[in-house]
Amino acid sequence: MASSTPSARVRVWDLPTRLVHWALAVLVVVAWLTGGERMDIHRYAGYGILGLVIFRLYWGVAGGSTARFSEFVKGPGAVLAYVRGWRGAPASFGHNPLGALSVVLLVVLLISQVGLGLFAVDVDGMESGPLARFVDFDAGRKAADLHELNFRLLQAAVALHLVAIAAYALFKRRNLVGPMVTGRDATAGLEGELRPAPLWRLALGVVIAVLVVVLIARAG
Amino acid sequence: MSVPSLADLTVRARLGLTAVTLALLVAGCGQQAGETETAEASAPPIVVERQEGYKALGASFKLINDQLKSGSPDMAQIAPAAERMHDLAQQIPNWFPAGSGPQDGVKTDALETVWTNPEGFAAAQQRLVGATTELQQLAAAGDVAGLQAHVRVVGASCGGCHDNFRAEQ
Repeated sequence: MASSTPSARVRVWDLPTRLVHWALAVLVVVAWLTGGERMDIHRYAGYGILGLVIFRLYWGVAGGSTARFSEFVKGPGAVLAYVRGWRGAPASFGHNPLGALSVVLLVVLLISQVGLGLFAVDVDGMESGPLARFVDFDAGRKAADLHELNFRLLQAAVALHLVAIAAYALFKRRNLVGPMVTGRDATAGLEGELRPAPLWRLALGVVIAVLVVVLIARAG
Repeated sequence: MSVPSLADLTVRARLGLTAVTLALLVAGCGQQAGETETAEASAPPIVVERQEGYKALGASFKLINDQLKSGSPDMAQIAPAAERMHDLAQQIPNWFPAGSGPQDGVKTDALETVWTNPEGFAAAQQRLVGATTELQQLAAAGDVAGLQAHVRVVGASCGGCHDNFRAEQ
């Protein structure tokens, strides 16, 4: 790995973490716009999200240091302390204790969203998720209703995520979007080091995610 | 043995807790959906009857689509489901007597247009009858490719009627 960085911009997020983040952002919007309208596209968006979430879970234990749940998920004590001292808190390297909760919430909501979609059946009995043939019409309709309801929760969580980014820009003059694009953070006084994961781990994660998605998609 | 505080919990345990919380949340929503169903059960008998009728239509169509998506569609299952759809499609006019619409204060997803545009509604119903007739013929002939193409026509006749005569969900 080349370490010829000219400025004090330190590496914070590895490439897989950033790609997964932005691909999720795009595919969730695509799935939102095509739901109930273009179910062919919606289905592929869902498969994409499923693969990305599976990969993200894997990357959360096998990825670069800042992507790992064990590195950033903190207990309620740490979260509370962070919230109390929010205005004066030094810039965190990677996720801060409160942002970590947001990551966990978004991942959990994405899992339930995709999980419900796999079993959902439309009102006509025409369109259905790949696993819907293992449940009856009523259960499939219930899954579709919950799929809709869970999406409202997901929307709320995404809105909160965006409000938080705006709050950091406004009140703490912290640019959180840039580093998620470039992987590098120019914030002064950042302490920490991204320990990247080896390439074979990335390859293994991609294989696992693709395999699971293909198996589920072909079940239908 | 000391009791561990929340802060001592492992990451896995914390993630587990979050998952359990969400599961409870979803279960709670499921319960709410169940309550709505109970409310529907106290709807006028004719509304219950047509809801059951449409659910049976949807269930039969799902069965056909599930079969067609599987590697080896079973005509012995598809044919009776197509027949049932055809029977139900012909019953639809009986499900909407005067006085059972939203304009009469009945809680229903049926739109007033069912009663204000009876010709349009009858045409939409006839479209489904025609589509399910062909569905039966294709099932009887064991024509898998033909069925796979024709379910789109049947689905479009469901959707076409839902667009104009049923409240947007």
